[in-house]
Amino acid sequence: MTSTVPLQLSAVGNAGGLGRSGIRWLRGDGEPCRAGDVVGVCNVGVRGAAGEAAFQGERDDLRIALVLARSGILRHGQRISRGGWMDQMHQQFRWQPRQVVGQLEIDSEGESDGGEAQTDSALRFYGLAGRRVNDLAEDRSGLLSGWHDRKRAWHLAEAAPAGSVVGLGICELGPVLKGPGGAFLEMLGSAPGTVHVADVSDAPLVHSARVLIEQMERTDDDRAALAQDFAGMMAACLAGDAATDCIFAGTLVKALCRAPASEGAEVLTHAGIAGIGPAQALVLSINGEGPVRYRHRTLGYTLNCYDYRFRQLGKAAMGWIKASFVPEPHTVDDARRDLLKLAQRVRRDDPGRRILVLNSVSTLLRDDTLSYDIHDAPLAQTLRGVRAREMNAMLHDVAGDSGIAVVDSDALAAEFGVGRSVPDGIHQGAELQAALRDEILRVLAAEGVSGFGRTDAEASGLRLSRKPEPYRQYPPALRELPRREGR
Amino acid sequence: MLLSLLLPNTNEGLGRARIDAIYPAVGDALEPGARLFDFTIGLDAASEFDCPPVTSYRMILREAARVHRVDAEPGQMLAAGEALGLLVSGADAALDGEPQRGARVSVAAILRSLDW
Repeated sequence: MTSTVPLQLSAVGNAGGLGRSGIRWLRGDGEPCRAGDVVGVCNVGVRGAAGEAAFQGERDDLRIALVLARSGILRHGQRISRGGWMDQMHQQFRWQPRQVVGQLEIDSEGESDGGEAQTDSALRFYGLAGRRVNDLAEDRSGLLSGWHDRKRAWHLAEAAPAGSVVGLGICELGPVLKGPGGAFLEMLGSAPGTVHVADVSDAPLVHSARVLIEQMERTDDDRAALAQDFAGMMAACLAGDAATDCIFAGTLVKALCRAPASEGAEVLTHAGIAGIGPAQALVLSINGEGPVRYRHRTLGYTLNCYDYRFRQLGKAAMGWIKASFVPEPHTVDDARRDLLKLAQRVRRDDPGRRILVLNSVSTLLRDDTLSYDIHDAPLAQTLRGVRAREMNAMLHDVAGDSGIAVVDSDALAAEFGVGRSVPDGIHQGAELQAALRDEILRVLAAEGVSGFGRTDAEASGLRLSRKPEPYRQYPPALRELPRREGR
Repeated sequence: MLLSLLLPNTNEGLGRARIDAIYPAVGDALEPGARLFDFTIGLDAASEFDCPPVTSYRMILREAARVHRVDAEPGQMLAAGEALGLLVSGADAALDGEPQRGARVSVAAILRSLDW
């Protein structure tokens, strides 16, 4: 026997009210859906004085996603979705608490009568926000599509989320946190408590530990001097008729002058707008600690940017970069010192803050070094595999009381098969990304980050990645291999 | 014996490799461990999507041989299996005819910095 439950909007935001667009349904009318499925999204805008002050840079890409609290067959409400611009511009309608936007047909076996069942709300909500690199970079085609320097999502609840994590890694981390849809749905769906998850883009500035430290310690005068210096690059780009290089320069200055490791944010709740402080956990990629970093010749700060981005610059822009920065080796010991200093720095005001670091996939296809004597020392500056293994060993040594925990990408890649799941050592397939996401969630819980914790009964089954065991789980076929005599 | 030297297949699907460095010259007598070529793959992908999987490798000889011919030049783009050169092993080897086998090589992924 089926009955229907209404899909009702809850109170969100402050007294000044919330505007919304029409609702874009993400699942079809009459489609069976499961609890936890995101079935719709709308753009929202905070009205009144609070709205003008809050969500700076995010107002054009502030959204609320509708999440089913129960399984059932989705029924769209009449004229709730209008399509076109009306489903994208947040000035179209008022967000009205208790407005029914649809129905859910549920299997009510055991209910004594038909019709609507008495039930709690069948809808929960996620808040989504993207901070555009520039207002021109508009793309509302997806949940969190667009060129953003920071994307984030959170459980929209009675109060601010209990826990917060920010990703500051490279392309091996961003898609893991954001999930296949790019909007953190899997992270939010799996966290047992209310959480806020953000990811900061590595384009064009790669967040090594040294870069993060300098961003946090940079003063207003430092930022002014840095921006003034970059005016030289802008002039060079324009004189060389390579206006697109100006976009690179402007984006780089903006990234250098931010401090994402110590940024707070606003969140919508059912009670109003709340502020959250810096994330309780930072997630980094050890692969962000490349073998070379670039130091400004006069201002002394560090630039960490992929070589392939430099190669795409025009002659004038690249000439300015080479004249302004000097390349310096960045050894495993340098990375170790920087990571420990970063941990000290972020925990100075909050000892409970944690740093999770994805280690490096140390196996590469067709990397069959048979003798190390023939390669130039130090090997960790010459051979990719050696650097990866030394970095992983360094991470293993520093993890623990420093507040640093390791997410063992290397072991997971080995379990799934490097050739099958991450052939270039960085860009994983979906299976490995899902496994990494689960591992990050487990480590967050094990590290005691609020909102990610589990009950004591479940905690006993957790794999603690603070001190990873190497190759702790072999695929079944390998467990059957006979041992060689004499080994 | 003539030994062929071909660009090894390092990562299927990443397109052609750019020859970055050629270490031996024609006539050089090489010992095991001698550097042969440096090459980079994934550059074809650089123009197609962000964060290309660019990887650099160094090819090392694992046996003694003399360089008979070098077929590649720096900057050239080659596909896996294309000829890099010919080596000769043995003092009285015939220099005509087809190579009898491939030269024994190893390949190491290296860290390559931008020219500054």
